[in-house]
Amino acid sequence: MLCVAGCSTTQSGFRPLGQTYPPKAADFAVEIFESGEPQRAFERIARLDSHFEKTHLIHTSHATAIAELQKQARAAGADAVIEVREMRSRVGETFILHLTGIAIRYAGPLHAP
Amino acid sequence: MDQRNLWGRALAAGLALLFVVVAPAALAEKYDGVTITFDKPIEDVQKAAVDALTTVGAPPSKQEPNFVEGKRKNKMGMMVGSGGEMLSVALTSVETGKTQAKVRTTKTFVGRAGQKVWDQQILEEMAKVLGVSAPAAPAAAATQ
Repeated sequence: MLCVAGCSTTQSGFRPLGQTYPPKAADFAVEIFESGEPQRAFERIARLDSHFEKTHLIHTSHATAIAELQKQARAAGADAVIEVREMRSRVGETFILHLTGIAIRYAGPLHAP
Repeated sequence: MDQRNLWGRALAAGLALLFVVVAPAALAEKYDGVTITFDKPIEDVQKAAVDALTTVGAPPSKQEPNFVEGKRKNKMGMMVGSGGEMLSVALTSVETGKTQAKVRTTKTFVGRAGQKVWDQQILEEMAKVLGVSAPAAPAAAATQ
């Protein structure tokens, strides 16, 4: 129990790039563009960060980090995430995974609030 | 004879302890962070510093127009944990559109053995956010 609390940390958040928007519903499907960008018009609304550190040589999966990024995107009121960047590093027996991305909101009549 | 051995060992232990305590402190005095000048206004560099500290696991607890500071959380390990470093970026407008950024890692007492200097990673991330080329690794980043 002590190890669960003291051997890993998850720090996530978003920084609005301009106007702020209300959060999306918890079941809203945020699209992830790990490469390229959507074809339709969009507005960049926030920078997203998900940071994981685990000791005892335990890795964090990319899927776990993406899910956390989607959660932050919903909180920022985003429709999708672009420019996803993954950074992995290690300090001794601590594995570090950081994912960053740009939350976007689709512009135009097709946008579903 | 035994008495002399005892004193000799005590003296050796004392010198070793002195070295362990004084040597890191002496090195720390030489270390004064890393300073880089960006061709960007201070507002942009401040935002980049916030993002950079977040990227290395030290989301800022103090955010001022010319200073950003955050602490990496301590984690326990099997042998050596990690975290606990205080990371800061001090900003100064040097001329129109140029900002000097001084990045500094301060190791703390708890978990010091598992702590590292993050200056270069912070500078590289700031450069990425600002869209400029990453600065070369300064020699000062290697010591503390």
